[in-house]
Amino acid sequence: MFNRREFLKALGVGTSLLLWPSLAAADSPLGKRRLVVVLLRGALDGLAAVPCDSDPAYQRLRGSLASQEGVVAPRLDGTFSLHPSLAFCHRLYQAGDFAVVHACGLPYQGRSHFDAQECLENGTATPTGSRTGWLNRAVGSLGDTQGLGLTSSRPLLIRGPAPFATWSPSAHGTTQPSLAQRVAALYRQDPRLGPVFERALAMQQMAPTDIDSGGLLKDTLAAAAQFLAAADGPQIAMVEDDGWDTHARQNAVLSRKLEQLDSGLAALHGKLGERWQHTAVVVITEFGRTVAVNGTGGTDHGTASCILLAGGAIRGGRVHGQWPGLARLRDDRDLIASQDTRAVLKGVLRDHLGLDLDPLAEQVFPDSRQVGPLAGLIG
Amino acid sequence: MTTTLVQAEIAANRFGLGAGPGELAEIAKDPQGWVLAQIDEAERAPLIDPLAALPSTITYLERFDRFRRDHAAARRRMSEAPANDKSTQSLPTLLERFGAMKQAEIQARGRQQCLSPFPVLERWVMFWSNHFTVSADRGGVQLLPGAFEREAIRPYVSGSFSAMLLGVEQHPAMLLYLDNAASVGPDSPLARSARASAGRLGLNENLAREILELHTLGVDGPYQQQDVIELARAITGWRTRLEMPPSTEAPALGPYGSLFHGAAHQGGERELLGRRFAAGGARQGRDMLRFVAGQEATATFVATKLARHFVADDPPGELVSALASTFQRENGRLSTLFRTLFSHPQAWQPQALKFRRPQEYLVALYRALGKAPSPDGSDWGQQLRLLGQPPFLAGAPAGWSDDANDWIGADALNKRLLVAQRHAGDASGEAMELAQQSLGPRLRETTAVALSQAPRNQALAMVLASPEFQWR
Repeated sequence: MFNRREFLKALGVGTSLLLWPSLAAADSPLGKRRLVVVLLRGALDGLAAVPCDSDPAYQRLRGSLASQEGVVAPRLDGTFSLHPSLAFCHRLYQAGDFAVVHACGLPYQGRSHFDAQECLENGTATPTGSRTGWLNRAVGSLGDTQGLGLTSSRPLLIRGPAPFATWSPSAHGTTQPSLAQRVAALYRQDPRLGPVFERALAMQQMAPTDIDSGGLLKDTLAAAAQFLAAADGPQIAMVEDDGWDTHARQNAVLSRKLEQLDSGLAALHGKLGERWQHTAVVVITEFGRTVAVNGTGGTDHGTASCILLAGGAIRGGRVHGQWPGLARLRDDRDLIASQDTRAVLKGVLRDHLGLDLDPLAEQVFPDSRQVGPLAGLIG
Repeated sequence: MTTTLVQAEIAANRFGLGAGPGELAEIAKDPQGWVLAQIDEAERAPLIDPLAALPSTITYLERFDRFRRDHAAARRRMSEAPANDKSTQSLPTLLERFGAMKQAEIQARGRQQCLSPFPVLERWVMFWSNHFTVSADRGGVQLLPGAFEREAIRPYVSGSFSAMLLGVEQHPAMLLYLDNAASVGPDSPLARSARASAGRLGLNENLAREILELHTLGVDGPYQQQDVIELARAITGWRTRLEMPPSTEAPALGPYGSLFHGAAHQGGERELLGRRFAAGGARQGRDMLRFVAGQEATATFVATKLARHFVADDPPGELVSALASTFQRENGRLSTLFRTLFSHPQAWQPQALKFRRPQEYLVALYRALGKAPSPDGSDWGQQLRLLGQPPFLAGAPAGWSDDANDWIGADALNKRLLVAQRHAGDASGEAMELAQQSLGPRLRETTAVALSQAPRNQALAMVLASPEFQWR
C-alpha cells in the first residue's frame, strides 16, 4: 500500500491539493484546535452517567438502579460520582482533562426523541426552526475550515451550505486502489462529482484500515482520531451513536454503552498524541430521563441530562454549572434543566474556536442572544 | 433508431427504475407509449410476491397492542412486588419482538422495486410514499410504513389527489406518526374528565401543520397559525385502537384500523382559509381536507415537487405550470397528472440532471444486473443503510430530499463504488455489454475506452460506479 502523497500523485491530483483547507495558518493557536461533537441519540440518562449518589433522595428514587452490587463508583466530588464504566474518564478527570456540565436541557420542553433531536441538531427552539444544523453553521461562521461527519448519511447537525465531508467504515471492505484510480479518471470528466470523489479517495487513504465496521462508538471515535491527528485533517468532527433509550434493563445496557464511550475517548486520547492538548470533545444528548426507576428496570423520557467534556483544552476536574438538586423535580418526575444546552455549546465555540457572540447569537443558534455562553469551560 | 434509443434510455432511467438486459431495445419501439401505458396498470398490476402476503395494518396494530399490554402487565407486577423483577427483565424488546417482521417488509419492497414490470408506475408510488412520509422512527409506527404504502398509497395512485389525501391522513400510520392519535379537543368530554382527575390532555397540532406545510399548500402557502389550529381541532378524535380504552366502541374512520373517537373530538363550526365548515364530527375534517386539496397553492406545490423529483432539482417553469394547470383543471386527477408529466417535452430534455438517490441507485444496479434481493435475506436493508438511505426511515415528515447537494458526499460516492465492486465480483458477462444495456447512448466515449482497458471485474464495477450511472 503506498502512502497518501503517492496515491494522490497516481491519481494525477498533484500534491498541492489541500484536502482540508484549515484555518489560514494551520499552526496558529486557533488553527491547531480540534473540536469533536459526539451525539448520543435516544437520551442518555445523565443521572446514571454522573450520579448525585450522596443525596438520599437519589437512593430512594432510583431504587434498583442506584445500587450495583460489588461495584464502587469513582467519586468526582462531594456530590457526584461517575458511572463505573467511565474509568478512563475518571483518570482524565483527575488529570484535569474531563469535566461535566450537569442538568442541561433544551428550550424544547416536550418528550419526543424525534422533535428533541431536531432541536438539538438545528440549534433552535422548535423542531422545524431550521433545516440546517448548528455545527454546519458554526463551520460556516468560522470560514476557511471544514468539518467531517463520521457518518454514512448527512445528519441534520452537519447539514447545510458549509463544507462538511462524510466518512464511515464499511462492512464491505475497501475499494481496490487500482479500481479507484480508474473510476477517478472517469469522474474527472464530471464537474459535480469529480472533486467530491477525489476527496473521497484521499480520505480513504487517510482513513484507518484497522477500524471495525460494526459501527461501535469506540471504533467510530478511533476513526475520528485518525483524521483529526493528520496535519491537514479536519478541524471539526462529528460522531453519532444510537441505542441510548434505556426504558428497560438500564444497568446492563448502560454499562456496555458507557464502556464503549469510555474506550472511544481513550482511543481518541491515544491517537491524537500531542494534539489532545488542543482538543475539546463535547458529548451531548437530546434530553434526560425520569429520576425514578420505572417498572422494567429502566427510565422513561425526561428533561435534563448532563454534557460530558473531555480533552486537553477543557478546564477539567470539576462539575460546572448550577445543580438544581432532586428536592424539586419537573412535573414531579424529571431533573430540572438549570443550564441551557446552547449556553454550554456557545461557551465551547467561543472560548475554544474563537467564534464571536454575534454569529453565535444570530447564525449558529438563531434568536439566542438571551442565552449567554457558559464561561470557564475551556483553558 | 438513435433518437428512440435516447428516449428509451430516458424512459427507463429517468422515469423508471433503471434499464435491465434487453429492455432498452424493447422500450425504443415506443418510449413514450411504454411510459404512459403504465398508469393504466395501477389498478390491476399484481404485487410481486411476497409483498402481497405481508400483514395488514390491523394485524400489526393487534400485535403491537399485545406487546404493549405484556409490558404494561409486567410493570404492574413489578410495582406490586418490586423484589421479584425477573419476569419483566426477560420480556423481549420491540426490536427483538418485531425485528424479523420489519426486515421482511424491507426485503419484500426491494423485490417489488427490482422485479416490477411497470417501473415507472413503481417510481410513481415511491414519489407519493415519500410525499406522504411515515418514518419508522418510534414505537408502533416502526411496524407500519410498509403496510401504509400498500393501503394508503398504492390503491390511490391513479385516482384523485384528494382521495389519496383522505386515505393517507386517516390511516393509523400517519395518525400515530404525526401524533394526531394523541390529540384531544381542549373542550372535549375526554379533556374535561381528564382535568377533573388532574390529568392533562390537549391539542396536538403536528399532523395539521404538516398537512398544510408538507402535504398540500406548501410551507409558503396561504395559511396562518390559526388555520393550523382550526384544522387540528377538526381532526381531533381521529385515532387508532391503541389509544382507546379496552371497552370503548367507536366508529371506523377508514378500513385500516383507525377510529373516530367522538369523546376526544372538539365539536363546533369552524373556519379554515376563510371558509366556514359546519360541525359534523369526522366529516368536518374530511371536508376540510377536500377543500385544501383543491387549492391553487396545492396544485403548484405538488406540481413543483413532481417536476423536481422526476426532471431537475431546479424544475423547468413551463413543466411546473403545465402540471399545475392540469391539476386544477382535472381536480387533481393523478392519472392525468402522470400523462401530462411524461408527455411534456421538458421532461424528456436530453441532459440527465437528477442524481440518483441511494435507493434509486441500488434498484438500478440490481435491475442492470438482472437480479433481485431474495425474499428471506436481510441484505437489502443493509445495503441501503450503507448507502445512506435506511429503508422507511427518512427521519422527518418532509421525507427524503430531492436536492443533489444533500446526497453528493464523499462517503456516499465511496460507498457506491464499494457496492458496485462487490456486485461486479459476482457478475457474469462483459462490461461493454452491461454498459450498453443499462446506459445505452448515455455511455460516454471516454468511459467506453476506459472499460476496454480494464480487467473484466473492474470494468463491470466501473460501469456501475460511472458518472453516467449516477445521473438520470
